[in-house]
Amino acid sequence: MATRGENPSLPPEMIINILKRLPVKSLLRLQSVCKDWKNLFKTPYFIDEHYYHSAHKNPLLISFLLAGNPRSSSLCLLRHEMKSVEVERIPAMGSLKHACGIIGSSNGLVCVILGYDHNEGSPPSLLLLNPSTREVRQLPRPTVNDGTYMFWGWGFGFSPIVKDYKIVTIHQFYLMNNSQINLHNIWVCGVEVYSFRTGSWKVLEFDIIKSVRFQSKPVTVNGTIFWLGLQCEDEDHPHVMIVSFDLSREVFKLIPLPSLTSNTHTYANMLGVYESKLAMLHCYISHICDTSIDIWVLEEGSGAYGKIWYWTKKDCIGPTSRWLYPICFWRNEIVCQNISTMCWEDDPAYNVYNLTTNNDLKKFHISESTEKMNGIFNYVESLVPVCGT
Amino acid sequence: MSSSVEAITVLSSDGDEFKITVSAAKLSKPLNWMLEDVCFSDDCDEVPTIEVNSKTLVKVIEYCEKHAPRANSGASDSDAEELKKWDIEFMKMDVKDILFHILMAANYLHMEGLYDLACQTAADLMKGMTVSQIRKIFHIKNDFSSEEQEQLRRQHPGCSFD
Repeated sequence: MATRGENPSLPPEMIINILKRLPVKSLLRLQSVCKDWKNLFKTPYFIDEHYYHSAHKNPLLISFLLAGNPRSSSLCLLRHEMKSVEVERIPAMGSLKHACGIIGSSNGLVCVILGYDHNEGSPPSLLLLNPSTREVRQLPRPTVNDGTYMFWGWGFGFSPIVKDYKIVTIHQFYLMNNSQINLHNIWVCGVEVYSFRTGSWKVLEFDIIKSVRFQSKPVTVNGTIFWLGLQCEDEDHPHVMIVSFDLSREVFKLIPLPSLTSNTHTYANMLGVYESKLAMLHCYISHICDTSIDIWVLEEGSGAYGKIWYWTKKDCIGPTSRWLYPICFWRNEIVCQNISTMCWEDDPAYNVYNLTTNNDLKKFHISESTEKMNGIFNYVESLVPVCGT
Repeated sequence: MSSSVEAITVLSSDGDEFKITVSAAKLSKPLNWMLEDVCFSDDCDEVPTIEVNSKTLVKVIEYCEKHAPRANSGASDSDAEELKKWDIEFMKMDVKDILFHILMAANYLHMEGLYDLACQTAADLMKGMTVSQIRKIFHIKNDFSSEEQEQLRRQHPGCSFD
């Protein structure tokens, strides 16, 4: 130990333990301290240490703020403060000028669609960005060039097994009915997957999902992407199922929903990540005017024929007199949109519902009433580079 | 050790004597081992030395005594809240003067809570420091050539070398 009064020189592991607690913004500034630090911030070891620390201590949400004028649309971060949620706009990035939404967020990297257009046949272009380091990488467009890309038919995630980021796009074809898209007139006509390791798109088999209409934003858990889908194989009896896509093996699977409380009217189903597992929130009218939300978690086990999935009911919110539309999990809380008031479109008030105390914790608004959040994703500030793993 | 012992005496690296209660000493694994050691029996007057200077040891003992009741029995949420506030006040110290000594001591004495708290305090302080202030407290020399500094400034406009 150093003698009294002198500032001791800390061993490297202690310095790393201090540095991993700093926000990315500070680390970028501190690259200029010395070469050792600059190089340290690029090592996979430090990037992982920093990521796990911020994932544990400071999980954030990221959303795309749609403005009246598409040019002023931007990304925003939601931070947990003591008793409120702070919405922080990410300073404008030129490359996001034509962005229209986020399709996924993984390890601090966010995948964004640019210039997605219903009327145009060409596939939309994609960006991969790290909003914290402000690094951006342009990705090649998918190759299939007929039909239309629907907003729900995308997924982005990281597979820990093959250590690769992948994007999957479900290419759907639809018929317009009185200039409206009829849900029953949508077919899957192609599936492609992009691997960051190979840097190219690959066409996949899609027989198992050919009559599924994708109905939710993707949720990625432990290398598998999940969506809610409407199985329309029997057109007279369509039913909701979970579609899974294993990022390492590149195969789709259909998983039935949990056996939901019967004699109830479901008004929403939502997928999310809870305790590192896929969760489904089932929202239903439980009494005359009251609503409840059940939380189901998809567990993985082994059966006689290999891996099996089964559902466990974890919790129930309510009954409450309000109509809550769940959006995502955030630690042990759920972000909900309060849809009980009629004017919710003009006043998108969000509530954070605490699962431990079974109470509303805080309410937050998006500052400008003309803006709306388009998809909210879990996000962690990280140093993960956009250029390859 | 004898069950009648409620406090033990230790020596700092400067040779000063300090008293620490048995329950507070239990927060540190090495101190706990010493407790179980024969030298704390009543008929032994050998005083163990802790390789921490007096100024730091005063603070470490203060932390142990404050945290001991909660660590030994568990406490309510309001106590946890109160303890958090106490930690913040406790950590209001000069980084140059004592913080790194506390960090080294917490590591040496295997005190995870204090170690985490000291690391977090150091990180929070660094957010408000200039690059040259940071170099000074970590004893680091600026080893970038002027060309390299220029290049880094161009890549990251937020970077400063002073």
